[in-house]
Amino acid sequence: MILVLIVVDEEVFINMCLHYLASLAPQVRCVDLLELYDVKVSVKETGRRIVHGVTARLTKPGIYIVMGPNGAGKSSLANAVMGHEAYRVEGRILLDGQDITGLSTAERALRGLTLASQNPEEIEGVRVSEVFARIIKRFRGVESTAEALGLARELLETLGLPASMLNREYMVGMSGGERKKLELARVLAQKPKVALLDEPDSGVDVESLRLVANAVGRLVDEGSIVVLITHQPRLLHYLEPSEVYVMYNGRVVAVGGYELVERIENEGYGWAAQLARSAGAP
Amino acid sequence: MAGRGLSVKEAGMDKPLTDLSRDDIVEFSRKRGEPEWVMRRRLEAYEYLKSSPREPLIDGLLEKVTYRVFIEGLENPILSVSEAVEAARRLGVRPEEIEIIYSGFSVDIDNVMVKTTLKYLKSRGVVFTSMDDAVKRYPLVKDYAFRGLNPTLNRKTAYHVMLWSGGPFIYLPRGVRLPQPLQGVFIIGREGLGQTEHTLIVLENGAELHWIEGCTTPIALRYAVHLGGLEAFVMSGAKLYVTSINNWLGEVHHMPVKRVIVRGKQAYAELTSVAFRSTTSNTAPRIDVYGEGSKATIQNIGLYQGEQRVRGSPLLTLHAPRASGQVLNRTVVKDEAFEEFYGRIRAVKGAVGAVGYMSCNTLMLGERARSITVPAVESEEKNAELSHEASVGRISYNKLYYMALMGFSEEEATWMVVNGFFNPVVHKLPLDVQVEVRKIVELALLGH
Ligand SMILES: Nc1ncnc2c1ncn2[C@@H]1O[C@H](COP(=O)(O)OP(=O)(O)OP(=O)(O)O)[C@@H](O)[C@H]1O
Ligand SMILES: [Mg+2]
Repeated sequence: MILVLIVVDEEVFINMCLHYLASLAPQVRCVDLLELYDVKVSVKETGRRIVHGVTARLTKPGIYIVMGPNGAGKSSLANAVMGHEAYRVEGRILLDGQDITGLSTAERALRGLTLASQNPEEIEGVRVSEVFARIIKRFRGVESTAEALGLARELLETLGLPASMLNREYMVGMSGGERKKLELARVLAQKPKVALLDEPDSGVDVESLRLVANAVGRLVDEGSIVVLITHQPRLLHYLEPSEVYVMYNGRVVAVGGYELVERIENEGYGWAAQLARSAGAP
Repeated sequence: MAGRGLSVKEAGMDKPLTDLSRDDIVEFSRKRGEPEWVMRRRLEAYEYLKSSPREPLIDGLLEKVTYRVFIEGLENPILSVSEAVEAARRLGVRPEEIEIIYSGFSVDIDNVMVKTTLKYLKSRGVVFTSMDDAVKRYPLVKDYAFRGLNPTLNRKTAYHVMLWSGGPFIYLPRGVRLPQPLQGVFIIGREGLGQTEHTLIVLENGAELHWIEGCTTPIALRYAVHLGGLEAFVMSGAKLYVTSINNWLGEVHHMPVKRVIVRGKQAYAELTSVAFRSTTSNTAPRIDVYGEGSKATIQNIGLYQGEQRVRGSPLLTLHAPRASGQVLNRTVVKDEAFEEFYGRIRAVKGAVGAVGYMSCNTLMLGERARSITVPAVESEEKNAELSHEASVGRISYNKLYYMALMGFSEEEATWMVVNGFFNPVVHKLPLDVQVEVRKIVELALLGH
């Protein structure tokens, strides 16, 4: 067989190769990936740009750390990737090689992309069990409610949450730490291809940090690409990051390994500011 | 089902119901073979209507129904038993539980379960029959009927008393508690004044009953008015739960009258309405708590849509020391629907230590829906404690966004939030009703 490729640009070429390989060996799962090409994010209401062109390709399951000072644009970028209406997005965002910028948030989620939010919302009058049962049935193809609830119980347990939490109203009256853990369990329930975790470790006590790390590990084991936004190098004591991204003032100023975490721990972000300025920031 | 032998050929049949004469009422009552005292109640209502001013919201709707249409509706409800069963099924009633009473006729369904239940009830001294029958056979009825729904209470009640026909009479002797709810289904089978059923419930000391009534139509009607009535008397230590589910099709104007009198001490009465489709709805359920330490709840959940116009004016009156109660209204207003809520709690002088609480929560869906809430608490007794709170909310974008992260579309998320919003009231209702409410909400918000 002769394969003729008209190469348009690099990522199209790579995708075609990947899909071609996948078609040759269908039992091998085509690698799920998230790609951002020169993504710029501005606030619709004010027009203010807060992310100034981020390019990143996350191509294999693993943990991708995003660090950066407060206000660097980490959460905004994550929410923009999910399609939050507050943001205008330029550039291209591909999931599994397909441009998702025209899709609604729910459609993105159904395609395997989700975000553990920094501010999970309360859903009054709706039990945790109902939310989880619906999610597990939809995302994991489980048909029986009993089976779905069994799995929900197990996921809660992974995060050290009691099974009795299933009977509570979703997020209502929960402590900060409980919210974080429940939110992670929810993301786990979705078995996402790509999970963006926005500070799942903040407000979580020292011992629970290990549980959060376990959950992140489980996501990776189940094949997810995990993008972990964090301020706490502590969490990384339990995890092995694939890559570390450092954001400053709406730009990715450094990509590397664990040594970047150590540098931030020791020096703060001064050096990152320097890099940002040399990249054209004011 | 047999007709009542009222002739529709007589002259003057084409006048509107608001123009009936004294003779019309006398004749209506005679032909029904009612005892004198019932006719007197109808005439009292007639006199009251003559002497009180017209109310557009009530008279305006009844003017569109002629006496002929009213009588014809009673004689042939153009509804076969199977249509009735089907309509009841849509209200979530299982066929094996059906006992249908409508427009004054009890439809005999050859149904073993219903017969067994009725036999069992009879053996315990429970009376469960039609009001048409009860006024003739049970002298006790005279002591209660139209004393809660007094014909001079207000204009709507007067119309109801003047024109009532059919409905159930339920009597529970001392100490009889029915663990399973009893259900009734009222069906408007044709245009006009479809329903003037009268429900009378009497619970003796320590008795307990959950009465569920469903109101519906089998087909979309061009025009119908529902003017049903319910009155109940609750003695010491007795507990009464009434749940009414309304889900009409077509142009149906829903204006029932309801009143519960809690006579005994340490008793409880609860009026729940679950309101879905109707063109207009004008309700004013009342509970009067006369028994020391007795409690009451008037609650409504509603989902209003299209161009629905809904006015709710519940009234809870605490007459006795340590009487307490609550008025709860949880409604979702959608499309161009318009809701007005005028809930009232009164503590009468002498109701020392009475406690009343009112809570009105509205969830608005869409920009064109409207809602007005005017809660009122009036205390003539300084040692009574009445309070209220109200909230009007929308589903925020952030909530929809958050739920979208879980893969829920806007419709699905809205539907879940609405179910959750109703839940504080719904989760205490019988399971069948819960299931039904969920189904109706699903149909309204998801279209399936
Ligand atoms: N919807 C919005 N409207 C206005 N300003 C916004 C909006 N979203 C983000 N911003 C602004 O964009 C900047 C980046 O905010 P963002 O929340 O992304 O920072 P972050 O990197 O997540 O910081 P932190 O570490 O504190 O969570 C901030 O100055 C913030 O105020
Ligand atoms: Mg943030």
